[in-house]
Amino acid sequence: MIPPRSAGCDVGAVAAPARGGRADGLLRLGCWTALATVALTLGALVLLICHEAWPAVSSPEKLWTLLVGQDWAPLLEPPRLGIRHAIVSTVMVTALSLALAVPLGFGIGLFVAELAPRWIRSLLQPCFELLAGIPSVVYGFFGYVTLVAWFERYGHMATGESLLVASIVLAIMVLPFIASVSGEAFAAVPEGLRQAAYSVGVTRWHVARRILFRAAMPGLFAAVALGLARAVGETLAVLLLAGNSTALPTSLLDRGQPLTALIATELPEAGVDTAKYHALYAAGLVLLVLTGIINLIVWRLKGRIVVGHGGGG
Amino acid sequence: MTAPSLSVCPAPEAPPQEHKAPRAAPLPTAFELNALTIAYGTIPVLRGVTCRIPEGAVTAIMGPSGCGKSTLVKALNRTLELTGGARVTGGKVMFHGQDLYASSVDPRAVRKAVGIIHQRPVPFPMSVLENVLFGAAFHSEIDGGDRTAYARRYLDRVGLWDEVKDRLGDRAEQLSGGQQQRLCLARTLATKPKALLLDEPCSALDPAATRHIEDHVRDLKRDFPVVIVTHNVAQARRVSDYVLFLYEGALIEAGPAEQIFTAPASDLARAFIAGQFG
Amino acid sequence: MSSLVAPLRPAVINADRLYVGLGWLAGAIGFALPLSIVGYLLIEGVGRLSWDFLLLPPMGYPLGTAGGIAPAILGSLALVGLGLVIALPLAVASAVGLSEYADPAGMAAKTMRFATESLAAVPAVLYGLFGYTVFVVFCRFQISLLSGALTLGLVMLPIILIGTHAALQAVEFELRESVLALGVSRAHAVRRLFLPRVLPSIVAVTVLAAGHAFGSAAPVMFTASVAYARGVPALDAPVMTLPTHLYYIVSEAIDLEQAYGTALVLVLGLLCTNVLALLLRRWLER
Repeated sequence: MIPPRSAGCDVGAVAAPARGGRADGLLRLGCWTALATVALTLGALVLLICHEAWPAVSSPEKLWTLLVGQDWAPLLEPPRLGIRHAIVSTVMVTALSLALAVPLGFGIGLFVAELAPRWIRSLLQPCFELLAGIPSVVYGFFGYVTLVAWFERYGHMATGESLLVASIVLAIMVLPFIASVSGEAFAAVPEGLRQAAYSVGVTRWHVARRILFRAAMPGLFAAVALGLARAVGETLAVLLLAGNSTALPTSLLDRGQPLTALIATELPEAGVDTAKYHALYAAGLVLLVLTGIINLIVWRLKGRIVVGHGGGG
Repeated sequence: MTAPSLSVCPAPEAPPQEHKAPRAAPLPTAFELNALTIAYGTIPVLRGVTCRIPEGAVTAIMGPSGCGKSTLVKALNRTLELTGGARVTGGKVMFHGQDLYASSVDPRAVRKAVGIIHQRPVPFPMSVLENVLFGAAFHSEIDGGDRTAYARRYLDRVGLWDEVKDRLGDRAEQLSGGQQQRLCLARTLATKPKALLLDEPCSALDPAATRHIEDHVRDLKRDFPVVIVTHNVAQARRVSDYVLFLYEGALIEAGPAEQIFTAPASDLARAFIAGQFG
Repeated sequence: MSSLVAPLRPAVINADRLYVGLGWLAGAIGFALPLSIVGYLLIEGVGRLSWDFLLLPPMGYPLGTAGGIAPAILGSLALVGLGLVIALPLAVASAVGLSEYADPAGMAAKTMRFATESLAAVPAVLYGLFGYTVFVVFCRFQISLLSGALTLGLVMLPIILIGTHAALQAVEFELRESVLALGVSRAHAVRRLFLPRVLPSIVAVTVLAAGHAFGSAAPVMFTASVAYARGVPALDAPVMTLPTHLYYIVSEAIDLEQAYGTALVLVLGLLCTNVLALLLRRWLER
């Protein structure tokens, strides 16, 4: 704000500059600096990952070898640094966990929005937050002492870790996100739409199936995408439960090593600027791209939800 | 009288004062609007309004809902730009000869000089005393003097002192609606403005509180120009000396209250005053 | 009896009953799952808790089969505390800048909002990667409390930023308009009116962010943590943390007893932050 230059010869109506310009300027400077720092950090994060991954992906052959062509055997001579086992592990674990969590999550969401009385609704909310707040490593531990132990005892397996166990626990981890976001999506369907449907005498299930799902579609997609992003990015739980095997998994009972677990396991032993280091960063880049795309989808869907329902909130 | 077109902009020199008070000299101009045009984003809201608002009088801005009254009044003290997307796209607003929208002018200085009361009372979440002193303290109007005495002056002015003198430390939200609105008035007056704008100040109040506010409005015009926005014709009749009638963003008619209410020149004004639309 | 009002076909009614039944089942699972998991951990772990456990460092051979987890508790607290010192001012200042000074429709504001929401969605392990290369290696802070706190601060930053920004946006427009209409500067309005008003929200979201960081292992695994440390955490030395300690014990199959105890401490920490955040929200709504 530029204070007025000349007072003018009138009553001084608006001539005197208002006080406090300096404090205002200082706060403004501080805020813009903070914003710039945050923006720079995000930029630095993305740039760094791209930069450090570059040596491993700089040509189409290298990219192919990394993603598809080779398995992971860094101790061989020459070292083989393909991450296809990790990509397959991530895909399998994510797909199964969503397959388990999405139907259940939608069911809970429908329950919360349609069937539950208010007091139950208010009890479920803290339950979701509890589920969402349990640290990843604790989930891994829980899975270890329950599922892994059961599989070892009843499944006659040498070690109980497997992609299946990891998927089940991962499903529990993403459940609260899918349930609460889909619940909000269902609840945001305009009351008028429901009333109009019920007034022709159909059952609740009919309304849910034909009307609610369709109307809440963007929100449901967002819920799935959110769960997907979390599942892809989870580290400690899969580290403890998936088995950490570098072999290419062929079934869900195999052991595997999702991208996050690969990075967490191998990074401490990778010297800076070695080929392995760059390969690990390339795995990080794959993660970044995946979550980036998912996040973009969620962002676009959120815009659609707000517009579609006239600003819920 | 031919049927008025919607874009009639009466000449700024329509002779008001001669009819009203033949012995008094014409009132000096406080605000002068020159082809003021305002848009929200790309939607035009005010079209080429040109008129004068005199000193020492209460000017009522009247018209049906949505005609741009609030927009006009907010433009007079530069609180319009606080609403996202609202801009003055053309024309000028002069206050005592100074262009309020010149680049050298600090909007905050304008807001201090031209105070505004909004439709719904907005007490700040603090005590009654702190409410009254909020703006004044910032602008260093009190400067070391006795804060309570300073506040008392303005609370007296709005007739609130007796009601709150034992409750100065209470939270302002505990006052009644009418009291809160008077508190907002005191708060604005405490910054020592040179003009006062009131945007439908009584629409959220009961009749008794409304009467209070209207009494104060009549009283305040001795010190500075008062501009009151209202869609209530009876209120305008009670309170104003000078009237601007807006319709769909254009100024249809302007003149002394007596003239507008007894013999409006335009059919639209006549229909509005007769209550045919609102 | 005329058939003016014909009853619905049994198939349709049954489908509806099935739907309602399944819905309630889903709700029951949604309820039972967190309670049973937390309950299991509480019950199994409470027997392993003792003052010794909380106050002693790991002892025994192999390390971790006896003694306690005191250094891990201290380390986690130090990391989160220091991380907050870095993240909180940055986050609040950025949120104020976004809310009060930036043009909400402008490109800068939209990009910033997308950037912060993206940051919030980045997998934790990538923060660890970033922290390792930038703080540990490039800045030569080595694996230390400092590197870990910086990394953890980065993790908490977007959460606090988004929460504070949302709270500031929620301040009613009329209040904003009335304050600024008095001609006060934005800084004055922020300091005297807006920040005090959103303070409960800021505290609530900070508590949540801190709770999340407290249990995160991935960002600190390669930047701060070590399997064994003693004494008070120092800025330039590696520290033990609760989540990494739990990981080491389980993955090296050292001692399940300690593991249960560590998990319990983590869960108790979670419960505390959740309850605190809930109480704050209740206080907000009064």
